[in-house]
Amino acid sequence: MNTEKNSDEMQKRAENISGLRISDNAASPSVNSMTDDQKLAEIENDLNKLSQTSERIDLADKIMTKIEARTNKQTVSWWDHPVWEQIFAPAQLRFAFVLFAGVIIGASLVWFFNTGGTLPQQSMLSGTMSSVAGNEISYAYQHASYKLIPYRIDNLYYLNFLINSTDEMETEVTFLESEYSLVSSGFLSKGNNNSAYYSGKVVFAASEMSNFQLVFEKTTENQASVMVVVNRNKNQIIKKELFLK
Amino acid sequence: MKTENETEINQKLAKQRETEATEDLRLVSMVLDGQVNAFRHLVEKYQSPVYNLIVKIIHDKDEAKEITQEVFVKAYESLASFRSDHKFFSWIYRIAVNAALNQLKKQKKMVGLDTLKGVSDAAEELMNEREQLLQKAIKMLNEKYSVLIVLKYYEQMSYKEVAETMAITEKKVRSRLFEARQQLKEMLEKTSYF
Repeated sequence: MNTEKNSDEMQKRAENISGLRISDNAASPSVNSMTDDQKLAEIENDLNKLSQTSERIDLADKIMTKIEARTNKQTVSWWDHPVWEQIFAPAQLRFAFVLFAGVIIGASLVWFFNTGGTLPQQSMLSGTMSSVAGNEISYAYQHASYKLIPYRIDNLYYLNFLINSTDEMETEVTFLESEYSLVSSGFLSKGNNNSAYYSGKVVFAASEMSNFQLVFEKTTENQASVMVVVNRNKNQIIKKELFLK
Repeated sequence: MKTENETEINQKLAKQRETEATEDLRLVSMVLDGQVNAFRHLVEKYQSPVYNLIVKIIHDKDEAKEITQEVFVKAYESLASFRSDHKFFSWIYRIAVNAALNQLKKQKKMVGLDTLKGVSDAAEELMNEREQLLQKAIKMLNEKYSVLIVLKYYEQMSYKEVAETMAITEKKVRSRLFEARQQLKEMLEKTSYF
């Protein structure tokens, strides 16, 4: 079937070449006398002798003008950069991007309406992770910023200290070992810092950009607290009792 | 079969290209160092070969001039991605081939019956009947074959150079050219070619 189709196709192409309809039987006796290999060799030979018709053109000025115009062009804003055009040029990528954006918008709308059109509240968070509202610390004054972001995952309390200061900030965290057990602690960032551990007390000092994390497990059902005291250049700047529930 | 003389000419051409490739690399690094004008030398050197290559693929001289300009602008813009272990002419030929094939697709331009019957430029009139039949048959080939024929026989590139330009293996070039000659044979058998 395919052979017949190919044969027809070749016939059509041959008609186009010669401009004449030539029947299958029109081949001259000399054609029949040549083997396929001889015919191929003859074609190869003629291909090697093809006329090398080449025309000289001069587009250098036009090309260089275009290039210089593009080189001198003002810096484009990042969203106008051609790279975005290139990235989103393939139709599949455009489709994927639109689909992804659609899913995000759709999911946001579903979530918004399912929660009665209210903005997210920390008390609504459920499942494995929740914040420990009311225990945050935020301090910013003269080339120093200090933040404590606490959150809870199941029965573990995470205290994340984010420090960015030219001066050394010393933090002392005290707790009762009968109420909290220290699961892990340490700097998550490298830099100019040090830490010390005592019974019921962790002290760490850091400057520049640092991140220190403490993880506690609450071992009592009763209300319990952790005390955080922060000193900057030996002066106390923060003192806060955290009630981790 | 190629004569010894033809083989010698091809070898000389390949050697000449090797020498030119080194000079091209020097110009490319000058451009990358900020000397935009060094690119003019590359344009002057390759504009005609690139144009003639495009004409042979799309069979339209006006469009070929436009595409030639686009090819060089694109080459300039992506010069940083040019790898120095490649030859500049292979690289720019690849951009030219891709641009020409894209143009063909864009315009859904098929070299059909009418086009071929209307082909009658001065150069073609000078050809003998056999060559005309062969040229027309080449135009009827699928573009994946005709491009290789153009590079191998019109541009007289070696198999290695064709492979570099088309970013395919040398083995693939040989097999596709064999298939192309087979198709040409089948078409030409039904004409007065043999």
